[in-house]
Amino acid sequence: MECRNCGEYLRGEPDRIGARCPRCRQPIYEKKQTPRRAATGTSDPVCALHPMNQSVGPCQRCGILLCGVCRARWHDQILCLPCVQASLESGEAGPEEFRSYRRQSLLGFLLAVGGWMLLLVGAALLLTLHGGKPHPDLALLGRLILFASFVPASFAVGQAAAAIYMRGQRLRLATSGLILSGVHLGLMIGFCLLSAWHN
Amino acid sequence: MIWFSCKQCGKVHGRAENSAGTLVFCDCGQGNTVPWESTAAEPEAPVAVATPAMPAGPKLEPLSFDPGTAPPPLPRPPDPRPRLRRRPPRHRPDPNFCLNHEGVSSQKTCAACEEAFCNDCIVVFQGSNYCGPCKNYQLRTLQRPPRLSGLALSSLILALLTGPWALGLVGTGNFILCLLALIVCGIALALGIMGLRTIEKTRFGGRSLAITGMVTAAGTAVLSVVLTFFVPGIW
Repeated sequence: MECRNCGEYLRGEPDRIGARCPRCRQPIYEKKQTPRRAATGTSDPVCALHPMNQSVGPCQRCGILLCGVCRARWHDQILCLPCVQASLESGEAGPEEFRSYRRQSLLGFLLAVGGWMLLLVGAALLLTLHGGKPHPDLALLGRLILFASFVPASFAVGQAAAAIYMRGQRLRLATSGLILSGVHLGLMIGFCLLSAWHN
Repeated sequence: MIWFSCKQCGKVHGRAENSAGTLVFCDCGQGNTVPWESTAAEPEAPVAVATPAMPAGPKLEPLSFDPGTAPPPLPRPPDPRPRLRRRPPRHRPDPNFCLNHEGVSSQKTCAACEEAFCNDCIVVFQGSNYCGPCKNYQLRTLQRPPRLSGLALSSLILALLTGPWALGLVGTGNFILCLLALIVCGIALALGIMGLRTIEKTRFGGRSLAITGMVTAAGTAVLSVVLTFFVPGIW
């Protein structure tokens, strides 16, 4: 990374370097901006927190006027710092997190359905053996598919449980996925226990 | 008129109102930025306000087209040499003055870059004072997508690897291998719980992976015992 002001080559973790160049002490990630002073005796709007600074616009939530120092970009909105603080304290999710929760809910449901389909295919293969002469390869395939259905069901539980825990969007879908996959896993383990008891 | 004193020798200078922000060199050689408002009292004796002298204009002479009286050709300029890029010297700001407003005395220090600023350049965020760029950096850090927890990922991988192992034990009745599988499942379960706790306390992601690892490990542990000892020869 190179400082935009002095050209100093900056090595190491960005968190250790910080926001200012260690050589020239100017901002690395943004242009150097000195807050504009409000001209005395004029009706220029001034910042609510820094009355000496000229305002550059209002907060998009509470509407107070902000200067270049106070202005904060938070989840694609221009906000004042008290509004950012309130958003942080309430655990408000950003647009990226919303998308992630939606994806988790959908994935949970789809994986649960996929797991059930595998379970049904495996069970159908095993049931066909009862009617006629048992085919060893078909039986092996049926059991493998049956056990393989455990994997999507486990992933479905993880995705759906995470989506429900974070109270994201599409909660019904996530809950459906969790119930489907939970029943699936319960059936699998129950089937094995029943088989053990039967033998 | 804006009155201010030299930071090195203390000599009082005066400049017009519209020259705020310009750089003025004192007689001692110190460069001073003209502040936005007076920072020194107006001296009783009038101080000579520097007025830049008009630069001498080009000497205008009539052109001559007579080759006999033409002036000798100008000497060739020296060969251009590659100019080395010179970086500005390391900047050591005066901690007594604001980094943004050189004429204004500093009142607060940024908690991140530890530079001194005036009250108009500092904001309070999460109980600490920050300058504008450091505040923006903090906000970007808070909005960064969380990193995947290594514990959660390890838990899932271990649990998934134990599955085929448990299936390989079907009907063998091998106590040692079953015990080993159970130990691995236990480790995966513990890693999943630790991963979940880490995700709760810090800004890590991978909650779904940790839950999947825990569920898979628990299921595999049950299946390992059942398939090893109670389901002989299902293959």
